[in-house]
Amino acid sequence: MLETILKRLKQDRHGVSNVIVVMLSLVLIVVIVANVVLWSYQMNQLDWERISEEVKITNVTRVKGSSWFVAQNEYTVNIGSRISGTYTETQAIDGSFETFREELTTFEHGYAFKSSATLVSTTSGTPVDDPEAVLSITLDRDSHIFIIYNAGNKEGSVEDQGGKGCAINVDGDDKAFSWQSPYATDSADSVTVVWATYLSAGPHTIQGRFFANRAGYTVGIDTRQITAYWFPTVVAEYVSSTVSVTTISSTPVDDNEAVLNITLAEDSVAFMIYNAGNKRGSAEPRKGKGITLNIDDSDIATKEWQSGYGFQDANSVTIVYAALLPTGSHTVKGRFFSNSGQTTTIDERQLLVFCFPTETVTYGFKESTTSASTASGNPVNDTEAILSTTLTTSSNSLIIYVGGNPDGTSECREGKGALVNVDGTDKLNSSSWQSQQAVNYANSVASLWSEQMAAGPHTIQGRFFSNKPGSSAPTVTISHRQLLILAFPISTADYRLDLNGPFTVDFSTYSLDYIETVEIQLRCRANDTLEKWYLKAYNWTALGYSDSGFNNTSGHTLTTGWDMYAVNLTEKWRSYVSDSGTMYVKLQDNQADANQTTIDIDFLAVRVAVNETKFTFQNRGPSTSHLVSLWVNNSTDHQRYSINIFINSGDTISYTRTDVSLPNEPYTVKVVTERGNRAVFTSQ
Amino acid sequence: MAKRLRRFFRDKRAITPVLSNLLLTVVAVAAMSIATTATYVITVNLRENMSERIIIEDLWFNNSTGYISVYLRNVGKVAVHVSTVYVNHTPQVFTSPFRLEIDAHNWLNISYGWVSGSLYYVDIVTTRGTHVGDYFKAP
Repeated sequence: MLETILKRLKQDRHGVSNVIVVMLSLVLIVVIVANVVLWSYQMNQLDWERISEEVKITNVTRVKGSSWFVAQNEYTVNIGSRISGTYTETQAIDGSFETFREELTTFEHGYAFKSSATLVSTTSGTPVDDPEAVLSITLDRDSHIFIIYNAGNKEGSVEDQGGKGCAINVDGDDKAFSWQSPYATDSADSVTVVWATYLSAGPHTIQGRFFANRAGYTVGIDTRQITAYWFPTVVAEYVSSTVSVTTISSTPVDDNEAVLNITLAEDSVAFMIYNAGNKRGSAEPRKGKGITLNIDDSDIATKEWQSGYGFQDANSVTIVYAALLPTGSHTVKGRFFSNSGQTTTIDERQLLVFCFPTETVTYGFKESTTSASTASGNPVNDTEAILSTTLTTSSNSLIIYVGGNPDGTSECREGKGALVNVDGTDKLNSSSWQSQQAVNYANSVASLWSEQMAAGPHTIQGRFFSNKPGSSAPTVTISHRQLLILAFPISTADYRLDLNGPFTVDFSTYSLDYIETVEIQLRCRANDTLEKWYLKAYNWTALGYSDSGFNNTSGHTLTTGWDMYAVNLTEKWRSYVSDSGTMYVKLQDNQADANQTTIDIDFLAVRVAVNETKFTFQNRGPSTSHLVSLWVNNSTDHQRYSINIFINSGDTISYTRTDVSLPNEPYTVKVVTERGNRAVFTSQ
Repeated sequence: MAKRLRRFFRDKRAITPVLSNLLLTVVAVAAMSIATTATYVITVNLRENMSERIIIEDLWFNNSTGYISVYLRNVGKVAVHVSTVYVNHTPQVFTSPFRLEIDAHNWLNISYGWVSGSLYYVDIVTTRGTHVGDYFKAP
């Protein structure tokens, strides 16, 4: 039977084609239906997801400031000390605090000074001790030290026409020399010599020495001053060279042996002195030489000049300068020139530059090119050489006065003398006298003084006089002069506090374009309510701490209770925040005082002030929502912002926009999802 | 060898079945292609109709321009083309042509003299017949 059926099927071909056609048709129908059904399913799923999506705007607020950026590292205490606590206790207003205390100002320095009007003389052609010019000092620490020895005789005192030389001797070694010759035998003749070095801690003996330029002839010293100042922590550069250089130039040329390069990490008061001369026998014209200083390729305004006894006689000249040098690299050069166009020589010179941080020194400097003359034999004021300064605390003060005239100026052949007057009192032991080759030849004189000055106002006056007032032509002239005072506070009762710390503003959150300013806030208290405290920040443009441009630069007087002190950096904030968002904030007291203040810092932080809007979105639906549009509408404007925010199911997120400015109420905020749903927030 | 070749070329048997099978195959393939194309053509319109979704993100009775400005977003899976806009069931002039690709969004401005405080039913119709509309009150 089965065999029969199979045989029939094999023989009957008609039904197979029909089956195939039906099958293919069914396949087509299934494909069509499946395509439509599957697509419909997808769209239904989309609609279902859209229906089930539920996004809410729970809050919309204006934000005026960012969160606080607090210290992430311990503060650096520049002056003062940290007593207790850590920086973490300044990160929140919570009553826990970090305590700092003022300490004595730590600018270490020392000084020694001696002046004498005891006559000494010698015929030695090699240096002998000036027994009136001995300093015995003891350094607590290795220190930079400069020494100035100024010694001379007045008109009529014993002095050989060949003049004398002076030297500075440190611990038994003669270190530096300078020479000068007068107008004639027994005429005025003073010599200035300077020296700087780095001395090790311990006792040292500094000695002024002198000698005759012509061995066997007597030279003398009526009055001398010798001083030494030493500093363990200053930036100091100095050179002393015995390489001879010459010039015939009548305009200043570089003394290539007197070039110093200085790099300052902070703004500093720079004190400079350049002393250059030739010994007897070197090429030197009768009219002598002149010198000046050059700072960063600019000559200073004044010069000094000197002439000696005659052709090839000893002749030296000194010039001083003080200025505020900004942070960075600087070059200081000594320059010299011939007063006659004939060859002039420098056999030995000393150039030194000592730089003091601005807060460590009170300085005054006056230079002038206005001529002043006198025929008086008694000191008269050089009206161009006066300084008024106020010391906040008692200070060790160095005063130098240099005045001179160029060739061709009224100058009696016996020359002039000079001295320093402090607060109306002539410092007679600062007297110095100088004469020159002939009438109206170049002649400069230097006067040196040092003393401990009390806190308060002081007046420093340079005074000068004629060495031969009774002569037929007694007039002497000062055409250029420099007068300076450097006052170094004595750290006996001067308490200060100065600290700073880094803060980092998160620029990834707050676009630079929308930051209006940066605010600094301090919450602290002090046990001394008599002092003002200042907040400053590091200015990345000026490369120093400053409060320039702050809305408040007058400081704040703390009380014994918790005080809040805040400043904002106005539109100048960008100078105080680096591109990476780093800013350094400094807290310091107004000035040193006698009270040792302790302050507790509960909070110190910075924040950026922005005009931004904060939105809070909540996803109450079962699936993640993608927000694509944000609308801020009021009656007059509908503003759309593109956004791209994903919110997981059940999440609430805060979203801030610095470019969204909320209009005045009433307004409506609307957010649209990618699926097409909207959430609306209406202001009250 | 020559003899064998002559026999091969003279033998006509089996040519007809081969040709008929080839022809049948071609016809079958062509038929299936036509059927597939027809399937696509038939279903694509249906799919596009099903895939069209647009929403009104915002509607602004704009005082400064005098327009009713409607911000539309295409949230469907096919580009849309707005054919007609009705305000209170009356066709209105609008910025035409107005086409939105997938995920695109833009303002559609309707020239209509709206009155403050009035309620309007704005209905936007696409070329495929999709309607999106709602009631809006002029401020």
